[in-house]
Amino acid sequence: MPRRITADELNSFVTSSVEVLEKLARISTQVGTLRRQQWSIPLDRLIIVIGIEGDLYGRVVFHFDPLVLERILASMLGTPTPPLTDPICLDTLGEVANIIAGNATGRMEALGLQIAITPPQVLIWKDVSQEVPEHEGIVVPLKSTWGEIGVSIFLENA
Amino acid sequence: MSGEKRILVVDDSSFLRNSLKKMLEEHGYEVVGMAENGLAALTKYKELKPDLVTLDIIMPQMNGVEVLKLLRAVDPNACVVMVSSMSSKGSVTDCIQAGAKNYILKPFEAQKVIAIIQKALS
Repeated sequence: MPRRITADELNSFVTSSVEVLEKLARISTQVGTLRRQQWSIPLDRLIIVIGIEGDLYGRVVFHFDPLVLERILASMLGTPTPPLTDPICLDTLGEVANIIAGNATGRMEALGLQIAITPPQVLIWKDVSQEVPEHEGIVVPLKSTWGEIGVSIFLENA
Repeated sequence: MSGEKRILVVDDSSFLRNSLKKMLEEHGYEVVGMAENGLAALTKYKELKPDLVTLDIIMPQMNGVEVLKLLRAVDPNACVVMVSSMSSKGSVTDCIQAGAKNYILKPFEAQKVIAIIQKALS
């Protein structure tokens, strides 16, 4: 039976998320209380799904409060920011998630794990239930002045 | 000084392509072309004959290491610098063994990028 991920493995994603958001989007975040829950993100959110393969497998899903999204895009693209549905916005947000997951692979390696990531899928106002596992994941809320960025981690040991 | 060196930027993210282009042009390099996937990169490389290619690793259809190998098959002297968020030793080693000159880790800062490009071209 696959074991659940450890705190150190989880922290690889949490630390990468905090650092990349600060460097790339100049958003300072603090880690809130972690919770274990099944997928239950409202459909009005923008969602980014990244696949993980290797010693750990599953999905890491990012979801954003609207004000945080605006702030990230304004910081990275300048103002006025294009509409959220503009391809450049979706591409930019996908790249943020891609870099977070990529940086996490290096931290995982330091823990003795080899993982690879798949290109991000950016989904807006869509039912993503097919993209996430049915079992519980760990939700890491990253709190900022503009709202929350949720990092939902659905990973298991291969 | 860059000496008008000509660079091809390859990344599936338009945000990253444009960020790198702006950064390189601000430091005197000429970005002669940009490509969003491996196939387009190979076509543009043959057409433009750039002095250096910056090449993303995680791309759909064909990853950067596969593209690097094909570029080096076309031109064994191709000067390629990989750009990726993957910081694992295995990923870096694969690229260097396949002929990459160096490796830029995302998210990047202009100073580091320019130093790596200068060194690769020297």
